[in-house]
Amino acid sequence: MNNLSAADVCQAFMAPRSTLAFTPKKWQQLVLILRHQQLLACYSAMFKQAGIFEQLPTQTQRHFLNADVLAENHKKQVLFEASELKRELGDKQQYLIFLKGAGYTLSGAQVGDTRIYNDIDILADKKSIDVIEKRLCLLGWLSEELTEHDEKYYRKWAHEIPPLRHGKRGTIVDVHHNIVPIISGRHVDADKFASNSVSTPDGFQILSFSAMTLHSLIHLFFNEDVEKGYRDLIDIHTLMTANNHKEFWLPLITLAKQTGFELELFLACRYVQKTFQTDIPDFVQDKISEFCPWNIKFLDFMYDKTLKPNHPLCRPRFFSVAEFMILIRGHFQKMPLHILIYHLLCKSGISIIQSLFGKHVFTKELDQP
Amino acid sequence: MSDNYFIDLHPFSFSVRTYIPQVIQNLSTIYGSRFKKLSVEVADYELSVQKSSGLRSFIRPQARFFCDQQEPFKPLSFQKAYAFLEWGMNWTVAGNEVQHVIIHSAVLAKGNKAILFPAPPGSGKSTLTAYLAHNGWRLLSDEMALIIPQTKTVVPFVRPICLKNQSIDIAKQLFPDGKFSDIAKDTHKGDVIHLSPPDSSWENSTNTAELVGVVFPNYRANQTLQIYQLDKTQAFMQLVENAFNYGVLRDVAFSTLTNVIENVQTFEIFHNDLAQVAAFLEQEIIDYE
Repeated sequence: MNNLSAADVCQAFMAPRSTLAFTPKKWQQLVLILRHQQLLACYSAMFKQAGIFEQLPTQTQRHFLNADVLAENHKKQVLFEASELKRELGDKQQYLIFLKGAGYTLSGAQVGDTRIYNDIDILADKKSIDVIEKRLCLLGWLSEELTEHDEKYYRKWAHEIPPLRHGKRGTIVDVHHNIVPIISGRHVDADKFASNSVSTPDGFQILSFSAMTLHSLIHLFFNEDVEKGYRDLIDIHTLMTANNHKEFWLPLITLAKQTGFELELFLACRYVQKTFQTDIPDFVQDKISEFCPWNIKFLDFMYDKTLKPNHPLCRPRFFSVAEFMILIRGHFQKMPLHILIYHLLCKSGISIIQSLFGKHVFTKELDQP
Repeated sequence: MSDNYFIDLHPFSFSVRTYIPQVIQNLSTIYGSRFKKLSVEVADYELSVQKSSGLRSFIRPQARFFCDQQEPFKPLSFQKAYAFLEWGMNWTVAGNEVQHVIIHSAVLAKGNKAILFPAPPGSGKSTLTAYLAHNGWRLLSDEMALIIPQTKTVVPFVRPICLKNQSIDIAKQLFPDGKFSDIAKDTHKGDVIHLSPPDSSWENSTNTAELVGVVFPNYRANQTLQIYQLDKTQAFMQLVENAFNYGVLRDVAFSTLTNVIENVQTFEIFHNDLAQVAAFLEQEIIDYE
């Protein structure tokens, strides 16, 4: 076979030496896929750790070295923005917890080492959200223009306010008051969830590794969008591998039960093991096996295909079917039927017009390319 | 159906997927034998220029640019498709390549002695670049100077010279044999044309050169040649403002640019005569050492 398969990409992560037999074409494809998945720096670290970086083709090395520099810069930028947010919002709320990517980075752990993301997510208590939004507005973080429907969606049903973009630096902040949409009926007691937080040596509040892992897997499996699913799965694998002890697993299981996300925990363990043969202790396996759902075959069909590296070069057969099913499932999970129908009507009106007249029929020509 | 093409532009290479005749024809004019059908070559970046779909494409067609799966810009009108690709290539390099300190600047050399010409649009930089490239200098770059960190060495990234508005007619008169692209009308820079540099620049496209000067040119219709020596701080700050990746490379960029500025001559010039400028550069900077 001349083309790189999704399995080759996963194998390269687990056993970096497997890449040494790659043809130049396969290297090129690996770089393309990894750049698309924002995983170049992550793989670069793997190759260095395996001691084979110097054996890579020079052209490929350059792409990885570029990614290293960009990831390092990303880290510094996040530290800067997080300090700004902490300083400016420090006294405005009960808690200010950095979630997801920013949380990984601030934790200083391996999971955040090479992680690239587009926005900084923070969780604050709901009562303080208005004050925070006003304060951020004063500091140059503004909401972008939204359609009336989107505005309503955020304000009424979502677990976050519309993204705020800094006018000068372009950084985006997502302010959350819950970890899943309120309209889903699955939202958690955010104040209670926030008590699972720790302070980093630099004084940033982040989730404990157990809660961080739970949030990470909820984000992946209680969602209609799995475009970066493979990367998210690597995050979960890395978190589980780096914290493989009772003090991590027991609170994780307890918290999953408390918040009602046992199924998501089960699925996460299942697919990290399938993909990366993650070492999960027997007592954990025993405890979570009871969460196995009746429709696991159906879920396997969807997730086996979509949690692989996602790029047109290496998509498996029936990928789009699986992706579409996840889209439907995710929406059903997040919204009651009558709201879902309303939401889809609003959204589909625009996309029907776009598919008929062209994606950019409404797009004004921007002079600055 | 779209075909895949390959452009070898030391030190980077691109594959371009397109079926748009305007793009293929202009690429062939500008890049000559460096542009070919893709066979076994391995490109650094996979680019694509496509006509937008839907009914609108029959009335007011648009061109879309992709870097692999990413569409960084909103579409432009169809007649700008080739210029769009050129800007897309710049964007791709500026956003991904951090092995060099990259300055928004022209670079030209005599022998292996090079001068940087960083300047904002409208300063006549590209006209000066085109003139020098056709008068005994070789072009290393029109828009992106690649400096190897901690050295004064510039790596060529030979690309067409981008001329705007009035300079288009001037250039067509000055270089009747030049290889020009079609004109892209009404862009954010006004009307734009691309001019392929002469063969000597292409032939030396892998030979690095050492910086000996930084010159900020300003064309003024009623101004005979005036030369000001720039102090090091001013020159440094202007370089920083023109650096694409200063914020990413941080200390590496700072020490590289400091080293450059401390070891080269720095001038700002006002002129209305290209030949006088060329004479000044050769006598005072190139032959100085």
